[in-house]
Amino acid sequence: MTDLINYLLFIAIRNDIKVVFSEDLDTYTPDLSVPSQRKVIINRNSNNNVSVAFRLAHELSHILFGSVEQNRVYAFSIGATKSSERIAHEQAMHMIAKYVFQDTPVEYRNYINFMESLGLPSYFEDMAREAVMQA
Amino acid sequence: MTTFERIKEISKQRGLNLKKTATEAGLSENAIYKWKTQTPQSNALQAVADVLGVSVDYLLGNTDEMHSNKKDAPYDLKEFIDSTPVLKYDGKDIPEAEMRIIRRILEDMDD
Repeated sequence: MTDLINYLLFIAIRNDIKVVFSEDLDTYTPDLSVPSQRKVIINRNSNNNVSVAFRLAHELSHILFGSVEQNRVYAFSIGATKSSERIAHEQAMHMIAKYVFQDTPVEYRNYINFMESLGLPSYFEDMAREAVMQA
Repeated sequence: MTTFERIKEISKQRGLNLKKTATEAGLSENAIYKWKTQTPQSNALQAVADVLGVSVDYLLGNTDEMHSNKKDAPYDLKEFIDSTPVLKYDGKDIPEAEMRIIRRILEDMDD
């Protein structure tokens, strides 16, 4: 997991994105990204079950692939129905799957384990299968 | 730095030479070299800015911010957060005290 986070931070640095892992925030405060300033805040106190790696990948996706005009600040939410959030979920999974499964042949890939280690809820199944098999 | 020097520098960072940059932008091979002496046309400059992934303003030397989306945001961060439509999370407002911390973190990131 540390490898994965380092890889994501490497992507952030290469793309001129600043990332902060903050311990000052309340448990209910979401992670944030501000695309116009290329900044990401990850709340380390969050009571979210989703792994930090996925949350980081998600916020990075907003900045890397999102449209700036649509929202000015993005807040992480695992149950969000907004299209911008769903797209960021998909992109985040693609980003992680590409890294994790780069040396694994398709027939050995297990997207259920993949989802479990990232702490993703079951309705991510379709998205996860697609991301893992296409990685 | 002049426009020509800026284009040259960024092209180098992107691993392109000026001829390649020009052709990718749909210009003639030596178009950019002409900009040493001539003022470029706005549509040609826009095409080059798109290829290099920077703003036209940056190429012109009006700003040191490479990315155009930065210039849309208010310059002052406090202003920016205050002008951001009420931030909600799962339908709930983020408390003012939390917003203050977030604002401070964002400001600290600039150091």
